[in-house]
This record gives sequence, structure tokens and C-alpha cells, in this order.
Amino acid sequence: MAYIDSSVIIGQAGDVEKESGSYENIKYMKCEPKNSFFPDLSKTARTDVIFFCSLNNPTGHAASRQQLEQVVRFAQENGSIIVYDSAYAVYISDESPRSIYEIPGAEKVAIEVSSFSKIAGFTGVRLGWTVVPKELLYSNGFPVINDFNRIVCTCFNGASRIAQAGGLASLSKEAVISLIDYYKENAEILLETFKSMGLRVYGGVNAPYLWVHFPSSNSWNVFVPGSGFGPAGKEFIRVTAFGQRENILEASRRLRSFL
Amino acid sequence: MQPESDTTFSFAISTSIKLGRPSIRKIFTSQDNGNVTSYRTKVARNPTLERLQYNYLFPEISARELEHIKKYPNAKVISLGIGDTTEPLPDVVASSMANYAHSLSTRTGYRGYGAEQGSKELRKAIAETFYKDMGIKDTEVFVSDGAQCDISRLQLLFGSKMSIAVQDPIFPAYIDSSVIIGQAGDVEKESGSYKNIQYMKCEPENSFFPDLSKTGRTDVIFFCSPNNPTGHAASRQQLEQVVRFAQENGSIIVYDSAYAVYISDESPRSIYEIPGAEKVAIEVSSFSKIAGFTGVRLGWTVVPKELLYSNGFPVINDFNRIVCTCFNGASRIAQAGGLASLSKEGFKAVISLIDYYKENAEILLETFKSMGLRVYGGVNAPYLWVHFPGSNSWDVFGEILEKTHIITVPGSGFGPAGKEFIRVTAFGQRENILEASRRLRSFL
Repeated sequence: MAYIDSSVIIGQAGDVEKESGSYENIKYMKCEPKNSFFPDLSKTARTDVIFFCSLNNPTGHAASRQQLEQVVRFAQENGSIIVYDSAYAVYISDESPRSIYEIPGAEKVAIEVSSFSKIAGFTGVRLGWTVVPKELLYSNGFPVINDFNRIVCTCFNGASRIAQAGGLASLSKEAVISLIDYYKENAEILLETFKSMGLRVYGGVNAPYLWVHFPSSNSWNVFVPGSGFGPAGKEFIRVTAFGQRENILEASRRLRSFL
Repeated sequence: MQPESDTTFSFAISTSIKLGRPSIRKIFTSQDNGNVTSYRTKVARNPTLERLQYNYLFPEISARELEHIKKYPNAKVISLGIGDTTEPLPDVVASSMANYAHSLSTRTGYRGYGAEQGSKELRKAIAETFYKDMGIKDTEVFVSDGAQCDISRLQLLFGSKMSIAVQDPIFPAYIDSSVIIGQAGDVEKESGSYKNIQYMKCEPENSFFPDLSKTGRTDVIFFCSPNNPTGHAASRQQLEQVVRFAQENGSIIVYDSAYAVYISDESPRSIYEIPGAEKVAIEVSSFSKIAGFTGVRLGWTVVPKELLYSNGFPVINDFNRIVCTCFNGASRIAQAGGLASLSKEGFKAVISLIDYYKENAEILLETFKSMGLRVYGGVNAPYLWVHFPGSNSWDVFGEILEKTHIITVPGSGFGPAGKEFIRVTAFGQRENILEASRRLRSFL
């Protein structure tokens, strides 16, 4: 949501098409069960910037190495800049890349954004980071990092030193990993629950989100409705795996009696 | 913002590789001579960023300080440059943050996302402490991670088509953020002024309050009082003029009151002391210079419900949207500290720190006066604005640095009207302020 809304605010997105809710100047790369939640790049026109979130919020899909190589190649061919959001990378359970920079050449085409929110439970503490490689150049050869540094110095004044102290501590201790495992176990429980109900459920393996499909329905319900994430979310519900274990178990009980 | 000499002016880029300006121009404007094989994207640089003249002023001052320390490793450099607080936080404030941070490790105390607008408690405390009897409600107070960030969020709110007026000289964030968002137009190389910005000159001749009758209409008027860098606090009568001017022109005032707590006389501490201001003004402030929170990061912006766009839409609704989309709330830990600093005990401690800096200002004021210099400010603000008629401020900055190892800020960093001035900050440990005074007296 944030990529689209901020794009609208800054003036990139153009007018909205009332029926679909899509903005005329934004290219939407559809991610659905049919394409295993990885877009068909051959059907995607060139844009200057490509926002790519993997682990994806809300679908929970983690792009494979091969898929990310495609994205990087696509960006190289089009001279585009990827903004790669890896906020949920620590939830990855398999061999999927945790950073775009695992792909050779990505340093010339990609910016990466991440956060301590879902890594260290810092949603209220407020700490994150953005990587801008020196090799990333504008069309005139000017390094993007110089301009980003200027933005950071003029429109910002640094993250709270206290939050930074906490961030440093969280990178030196094992403790945060066990919290991440706790949430991943929650996801397993919910995944099992939805599967046992015979529902088509995606995500929940590499991510703290489950993307549950209710074909031919409209997604407004108790949970976060999928249409809040864009037109392709219309028939889906996003379920978060963040929560106290007892609440996750109670939710599972109630869900099983729901259908 | 013209530095004296191209060949000696150097600035650090993000990786702290220092290049003289001529070489920067050579690297980034040269044509591809066939030997350059580095891959480039096909994304054009944002033209607004190209219009920024130099690096943001304060990192540049830091870079000059580092250079000087390298040159004179044994000199004890005293920084009266960047306006940064130096005194430790009161214990009651620091403890509140330590306790809050610790409570996050407990089952019952852990909290996740907070309201983007800030905790209800803190919003209430801010309204009650600073806007008592001015009709400002807690729901009109938006807690942030600092005024510098709020200024850019306000520019996002306004968009690229707004026209702005600023005081000249002024703290650079209003101008630089205006350039970045696309409002300011091209720069006039000689003066360093931007085509679309109205500069309201503040100088000794007009006692640092602009002649509004000579100011063209703009959509937004940035007004900082007490002023950074001149130290002038606008009187009630002057602020009534500003509000009237805004009303007549249908403009919005963005009033920066970050230094209001330093006011020693009867000058208003908030624009909302002026009747009618709630219909024309947004106010921005910060815990930085109140509570020493420059590194903790906490501030606020007031957007009254009565402030309406030309189509009747409340500005507060759009600002709330910006805050919810482009921000996620100030750190809960910083907010706990803010609340403690506004408690009875906390505020008392905070005021005594402010008094400490004000005494520093008195000492420096005396020093400059005794040197026969024309010095302004230092009474209602933690800044002194020293006049060196006929000089170039980067030269004076360099000379003071070389001869006394004291960092100041050249006035031209604050706009064309600052060309002959030096800004001196009163933040500092008393012994350094006294030592600086001694060195300065022997300087001239």
C-alpha cells in the first residue's frame, strides 16, 4: 500500500480508474496463484522504478534466486531502478535469497529497504535502513547515493540514538531469532488450520502472513481484506501470524468452527 | 550561499571522500569519452535535486571542523557552530526512557505500533503546556520525530505548485525542502536566490522584522520566531501584522517556534497568542532545544481544525493522511521522555538547562560587545548574530577558525542577507563558552 499511496502523493500516479481502483500511470504486476505469485515480466512495460517486495506482503511469496535473476535482468535491460523491500527476509525458511544483492549485478540496479520492525519487534521503537550502492548511477552518471544522502540530511535528522542503541544490541544477540521462530510457529499453526478447513492458502511458510483464497467472493471480513492491497487481492484475505500463542490457538479453534 | 574561493571550498560526499568543487564538476558533467564503462541506469536524476547549490549547510560545517582538527590535532577546537545542545538530560527524563525501554521486554509492557499522530497523553501534555488558553486541542497536535522532518512533511502536504516566502536570513531547511519538492524554480547564480521564492529581508535597518508591504503574495509564509539565525523574537504587534498579512492574502503561515522557550521578554511564544491565527497558521516546534532531544528525536506540529483550503477542505485531514502514509509515529521511547520532560519535575529541570544556555548567551553577548562589534540576538534565543560590515562571511568564518580554533557558522549559509554576518551558538559547556570568550577577546 505504501508504495502506491506515496506515489500518488508525490504526483507520479495520475488519475484513478474508479471501477478498478487502479492508477493510470502505475504498472501493476499481477501476482496470483496462476503464476505462483511471481509476475510475468514479459508482459510488464518499462518503468523507471520497480517496487519489489520479497518476502511479499500480503501474499507471503518469497521469490527464488532464478526469479530474482529475472527481475535484475529485466531492470538492466530497461535501465530501471529496483526498490527491493526485504523487511520480512528473516522469515525465509528455504534457500530463497534474503537480499537482492545476492544476485550479481544488483548493485548497479537496486536500492534495498528493510526494517527492524518485524525483525526485532521494533514497530513502536522505529528503526529501519535503506541501502544505496555506490555503483547505482542515474542516466547522466550521477551517483544516486549522493542525492539520497542529500535527502537524508535535509528532510530528516537521523533515527533516535536510543532506537539505534537497541538496533545494535539486537544484532549482537541470539534473542531476536527465537522471537522470529515463535512467529513462524504461529504461521505453521494457522497454515495447518486453513488447510484442514480445505481452503486454498498461500504464504505462511516464508512469511508471517497467510494469503487465503475465497474464490468468487468479496474480501471484507474480520481480517484484513485483500482488496486493501490492490485489485488482485479482491478474493483474498490476509491473516497475520503475529500474536500471542494463546490467541493464535484460540483463533484456530474459532476458525475451524467457522466454515 | 557563495563560498569565497572555489579552490579552497571542499565538501564531503556521503562516503567521506573529499573532492574540491572543480573536480566534482569534472566528474559528473563530462561527456562519455568511451573510456567510461560503468553501467548507468536510464533513470533521469530528479531535476529539483540538481537545483540545490551545495551540500546542506550543517554537514558542511561538520566537514570543515573535521578538516581543521586534522590540520591542528593538538588544538582544542570549540564548536559554537552547529546549534546542538550539550548538557546531559535531567535524570527524571532519562530514567523515564530507560524504564520505558525496559518495559518493552516485559509481557505486560510490550507495545507495537503506536498511533501515527502520537500518544494521546503526550498530545494532551503538549497542548496544555504550550497552548494553554489558546484554544488548541490535543487532537490538533501531531507528535513527530523532529521539526526538520515535519518541515519536509509539510512540503509534501503543500506540493510542488505552492509559492513560498521565507525570512532572509533563515535556517536553510525551508528553502532546501522547497527546492527539493519543486516549488522554488531555478537559482540565480550570483545571488544564490531562487526565482520562485519571496525573500523577506531581515536586517539591522528594519530591526530584523521584514517590511510586509514590500512582500508579494505567496501561498505559504515560513516564519521562524525567535529567529534562527538572527535571534530576533517578533513582538505581539509584529505578529499581528503577519497574521493580518496572511488573512488579507489568504496565505498559510508555517510558524516555527522551536526556540520560544528562550524568550526573556513579553514577546509571544506561539502564533496562536494572536487572535485569528488558528484560521491561517500551522505551528511547528521541537523538543530538541527545549529538552536537549537533538539525538532523541521528538517534535510536533499543530494544525488547527479551523485552517481550511480554498475549497473548504480542512488542512488537518490532509496532514493526518501524510502522517499516516509517509510516517509511522515517533518512537514510543522518545515520547515517554517527552512526557517526562513536561511533567512538573521534568519541566522544572528542563527550564534550568535552558537558563544555563541563556547565561552562556549573556557571556558571549558581553564578549562581542566589549570587542566593539555589532552583535544582535542572544537575548531571546540561543544564537548571536554578529555583524562584520563589508566582509564575506566564509572569510570571517575561516579566519576565526584559523586564529581561535572556534567553529561558527558563516551567515551566507542562511541566505543572501547573511553575507556579512557570523552566527554563534550559545549551546556549550560553560568552561568552553568562557574559554571561547577569552580567545575571541584576543582575536581582534
